[in-house]
Amino acid sequence: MTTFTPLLTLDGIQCGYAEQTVINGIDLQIGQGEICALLGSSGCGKTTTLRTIAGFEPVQQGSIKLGNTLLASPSYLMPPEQRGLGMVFQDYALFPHLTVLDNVTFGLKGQSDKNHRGKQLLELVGLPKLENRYPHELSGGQQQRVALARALAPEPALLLMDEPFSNLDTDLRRQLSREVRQILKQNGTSAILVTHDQEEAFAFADKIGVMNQGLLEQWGTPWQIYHEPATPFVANFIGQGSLIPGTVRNEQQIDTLLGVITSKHARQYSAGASVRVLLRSDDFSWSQESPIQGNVISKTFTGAATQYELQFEESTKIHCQLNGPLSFEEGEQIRIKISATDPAVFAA
Amino acid sequence: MAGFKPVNPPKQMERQPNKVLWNLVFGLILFVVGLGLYKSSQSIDYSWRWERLPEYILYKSDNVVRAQFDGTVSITADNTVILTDDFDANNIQQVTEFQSSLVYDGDLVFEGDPLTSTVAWKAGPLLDGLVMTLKLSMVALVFALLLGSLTGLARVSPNPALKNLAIVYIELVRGTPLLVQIFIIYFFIGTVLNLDRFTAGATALAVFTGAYIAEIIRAGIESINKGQMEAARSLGMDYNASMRYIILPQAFKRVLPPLAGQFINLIKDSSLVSVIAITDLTKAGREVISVTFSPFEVWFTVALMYLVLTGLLSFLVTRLEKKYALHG
Repeated sequence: MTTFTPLLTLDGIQCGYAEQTVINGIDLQIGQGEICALLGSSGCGKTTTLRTIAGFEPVQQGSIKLGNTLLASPSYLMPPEQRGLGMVFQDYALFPHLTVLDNVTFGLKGQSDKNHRGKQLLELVGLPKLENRYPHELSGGQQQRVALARALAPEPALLLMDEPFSNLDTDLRRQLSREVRQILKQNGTSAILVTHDQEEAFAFADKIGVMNQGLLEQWGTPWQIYHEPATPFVANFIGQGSLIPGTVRNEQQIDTLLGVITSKHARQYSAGASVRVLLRSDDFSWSQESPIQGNVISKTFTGAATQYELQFEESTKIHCQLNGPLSFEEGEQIRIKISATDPAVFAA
Repeated sequence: MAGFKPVNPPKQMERQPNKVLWNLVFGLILFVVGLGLYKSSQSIDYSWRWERLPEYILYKSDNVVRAQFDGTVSITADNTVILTDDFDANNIQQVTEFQSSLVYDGDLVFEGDPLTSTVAWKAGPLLDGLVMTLKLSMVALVFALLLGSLTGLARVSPNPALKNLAIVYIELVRGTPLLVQIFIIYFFIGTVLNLDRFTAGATALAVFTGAYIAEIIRAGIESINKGQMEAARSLGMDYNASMRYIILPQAFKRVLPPLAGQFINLIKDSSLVSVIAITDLTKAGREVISVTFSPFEVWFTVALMYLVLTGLLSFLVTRLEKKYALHG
C-alpha cells in the first residue's frame, strides 16, 4: 500500500449550518481513476460532504486535500473555481439562455478549439446534432447528458455528482448510470457519486461509503458492504436481511433459534457471548426435511421469487426470498433451510 | 360497464361567460361614464373652449422679414429679394429663403416695411413641455438604470461595505418623499456644486428611481436558482464572471416587466420637478392655464400627453420582453 497516493483526502472533516453539525468527522481517501459512491438516506450528510469538497460549504474541522494541494481547512477555503473539480447537479443546472454547445464549452473559455472539443464531448455522451438546441428543448435524459459533457469538458481531476440520476425514470436511470460509468472509465476520470439508491451505487461505484447521521459507517467495495457490513446500521440499510439473536458456541458456530449457523466471524467473540447474525433474504431456500418451520406473516410476489416474512416463536421475524412457483398463504407453516456462507456477526 | 350508473348526473362544464354580451356591457359602462362626464360638464357654469387649445401644442408662425433701412427692392431670377440703400449702393439687405414675397421688383420701401413672409409650424408651450419631460425622463432613466444596477449588484455582494452602503442608500431614498429630495438636491447640493435646474432635477429623479431599480435588480438576481452560480463556478468562472455571463442575462429577462413599471413611474414623477421651475409638461400646462383660463381642457390634454409617453414606453418594453422571452 506504500505506492498508493490518494487523489482526494478528507481528514476528519466537520461541517454544519448555524449550530447544527451535519458532518461529524469524516475520513476517506480516493485513488486516481476510482469511482466512489456516498450512500445514505436523506439528511445523512452525503450531499453536504460533496458540497464541502466542491467548495460550496466551509469546513469547521479537518482538511480536504487534492493530491498535495490543500482545498479547505477551518482557516482556508479555496474558491470553487480554482479547485479544478467538475460537478453534476441533481437538477442539472444547465444554463437556460445558452445553447447546448455553449453550455458544454462554458468551462473552456478562451480555448481556441473549444467548439471542436465541445462537439467531441457531445458525441461521447451520445448527443451529436443537438448542439444548437436550448436546454428546455431537451428531454430529462438528454439534459443529464449535456450536464455530464459540460462537467467533463474542462477535464476535471475529480467529478462530483449529486444524485444525478434521481430525476429520471427507472429504465433510463439504469441505462444512463451504466453509460456514464463507461465514459468515466474510458477517460480515467475519478468520480464521487452521491445517491440514496443502493442498486445504483452497487452498479456504478468501485467503492461505496455508507453514511449515517454525519458519520461514515463503512467504506469498502460493494461486495464488502453487502456481505461484510461493518455495523448493524449498514447491515440493515443495505439489502434485505434479518438480524437473528444467538449465542456463540465456538470459533465457528453460533446457536440460534434457527439452529446452528456456521460463520468464521464467530471467532471475534468469546464462547457464550450473545450476538446477532445477519441472514440475507436470499440465504434461505425450501426444504421439506428441514426442522426450521416458520409461520407466514406476509408475502410479496415479485415474479421470479416471492418475499415472505416469517415468524418463529415469540418475536423473531425473518425476511426470506424463495424461488419457484410454490406459494403459501398467510398463516401457513413453511419449512426452510439456511445456506449462508460466513454471515456477518454483531454483538447483541 | 353494464349496470354502472353514475351516482350524480355529470355536471356541466364550467360555464364560460358570453363574450358578446359582456363586451356589450363593457361598452355600455364606458358609454354611461362618458355620458355622465358630458352631462356634468354641461351642468356646471364653465364655458368649454377646446378650440383654443391646439395652438398651445402646435401653431403656425408667420416669420416676416422687414426692411432694415429705406431703399429699392430688386428680385433676381433665382428668387432672392435684394434691398439696396438709395444713398449708399454698398448697403444691401438680402433675403434668400422665404415662402412668399410681399414686395415687387422696383418697389420703394421704408425701414420696417415687410419684405417676405415664411409660415412654419412651431411647437407650442405644451409640446415644448412634453419635449422637456421626455428629455428629463430619458437622462434620469439612463443614470437611474446605471445607479440602480450597480446598487443592486452591491446589495447582493458578499462584501459588507458594498452591501451596507447599498442598504443605506436604498433605505434613505425610499424613506423620504421625492418632493423633499428635489428641494434638497436643488437648494442644498445644487448650491454647493453650482448645479443648474435641469441637472438638479435629473439628478433627483435618477437618485430616487435608482433606489427602486436596485431593489428590482436584487430581486431579479435572487430569483435565479442558486445552482446556476454554483454550476458556473464549478466550471472555473469566478464570482464576477459568473454574475456577468450566467446570472445577469437571466435576471435581465425577469426584471423587464417591473423595470417597465418603474420607468413609467419615473415619467410621471418627473412632473414634480416643476417646483424648481423647470418648464416640463406640467408646468407648461399651468402656464397655458394662466393665459387661456381653461384649466379643464388643459389638464385633460396634459394627462393625455403623459398617457401617450407612458403608453409608448410600455409598448417598447413589451416588444423587448417578447424578443428575450424566446429561451428558457
